[in-house]
Amino acid sequence: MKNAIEVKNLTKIYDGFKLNNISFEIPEGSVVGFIGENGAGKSTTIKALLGLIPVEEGKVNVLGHLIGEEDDASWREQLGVVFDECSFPSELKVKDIARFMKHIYRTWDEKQFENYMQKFELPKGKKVKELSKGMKMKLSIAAALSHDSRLLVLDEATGGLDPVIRNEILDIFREYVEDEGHTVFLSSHITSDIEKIADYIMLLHKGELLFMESKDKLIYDYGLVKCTKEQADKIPSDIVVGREDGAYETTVLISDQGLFRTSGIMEEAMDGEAKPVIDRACIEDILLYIVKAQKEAI
Amino acid sequence: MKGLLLKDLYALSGYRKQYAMVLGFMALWSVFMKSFSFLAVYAILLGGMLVVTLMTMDENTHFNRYALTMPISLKTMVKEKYAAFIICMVSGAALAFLVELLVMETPWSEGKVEWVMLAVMVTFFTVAYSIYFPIVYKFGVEKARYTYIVIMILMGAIVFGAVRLTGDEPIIIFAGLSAVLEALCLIGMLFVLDAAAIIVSYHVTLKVAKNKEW
Repeated sequence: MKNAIEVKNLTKIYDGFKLNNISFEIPEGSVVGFIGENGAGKSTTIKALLGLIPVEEGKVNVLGHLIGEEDDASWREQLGVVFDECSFPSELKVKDIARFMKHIYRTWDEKQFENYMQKFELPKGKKVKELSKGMKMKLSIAAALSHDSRLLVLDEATGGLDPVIRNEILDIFREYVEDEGHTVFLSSHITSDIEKIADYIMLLHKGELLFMESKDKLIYDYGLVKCTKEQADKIPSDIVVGREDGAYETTVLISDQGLFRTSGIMEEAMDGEAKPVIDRACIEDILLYIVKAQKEAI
Repeated sequence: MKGLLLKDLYALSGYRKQYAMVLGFMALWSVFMKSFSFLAVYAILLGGMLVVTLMTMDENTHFNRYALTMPISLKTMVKEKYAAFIICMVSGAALAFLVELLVMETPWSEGKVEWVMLAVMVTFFTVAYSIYFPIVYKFGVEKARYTYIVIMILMGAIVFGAVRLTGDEPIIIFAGLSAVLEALCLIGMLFVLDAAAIIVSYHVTLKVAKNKEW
């Protein structure tokens, strides 16, 4: 399988922050959700991927092009990027965007852009500054998808949008990845969006890449065990990701439901004692427990 | 390059009414002042200001960061702004020349176009903006605004100082030439100075842009 993005030992240092030697590979044809709390380094990673910032160390390869060493920018015909805010000058009218973009992208598809304009009900005669936040985002997405883009990079592109618009946008991404050569790299705080669409989840915490895992594996393997403190103490420590002790109940995030079920803890519950219950852990639970455990470990 | 220039053109067209109004006001002011030199100078100044407006718009929306994700090299992106600057300055100078031509037959005119004066003003603003642009790329339009004022004051002080130093004595640079030839040589010299300022400024800006975090 080819990789759309390859990152090796990427390091970027700012005053008070270090993106610490991260490495990962994004397989072509996949949707990768990039999560982490504010200041974790998601935007820094994305900027490094796009060659927008110089880095201290590491190699970044995007669609077969080594970032930072290329003289020819033409490969970026295959790259579609949407940032957390609309990047078109606010004085431009919607119709002006197609007029100049067709001179920037050789592969600009005017008909495709027109279709998105209709689908998103974007008023052509309005200026960018007159559009709502949702409309601006749709405009940015329409522009990113109206040329021959094989890789779509989205940095918090759905943040601040209402659930209806977010859902519409996720549908567009689903349609986009129906083509096996298309890849989506999506950073978001809204883990429910990522859960809906991603094949893989990457978790970044304070500049460290904690994991990159298949979403299905995370959802099927991870679980929230609700039990007593005594039962929680018996759970093998190697599968305990995080734990929260309440007054009446302890909740433990475990990384291997199978191992937990065969550990005998379920059967050990004494007479009158409630048996541990395993709930599905959503991506948000996993993120919160991991980050909490990391904070406690420091 | 063409796409970026078109983007700037469309973005500026949103301000055409405001600029037309300002120019109209300046024209009226010139009638009252019985001197159109001010309007001519303002037309040239406006050329540079248009590019600063474009840079402000780009900065506010982080357009440059976005442009660098497009099939546009950093060099092209920087070059385009200088191309826009040249177009704006030439348009401003053409407008100033037109103003001078139009008022030539009025009682306030000396009956001739002040070619050298126009060329000096074009050079004044070209050099000032050439110093200003790398600072804008380094620190952003907002922070660079103060340096703009400083540059203008310093440049003005240099010109004023030079005029005071020479007093009423005419400055003879090309001795032995006729007035027309001397004017042409002076304009040519100023043109070379404009070109040099723009070229040096472009290379400095490019260096700044290469190390910038977008």
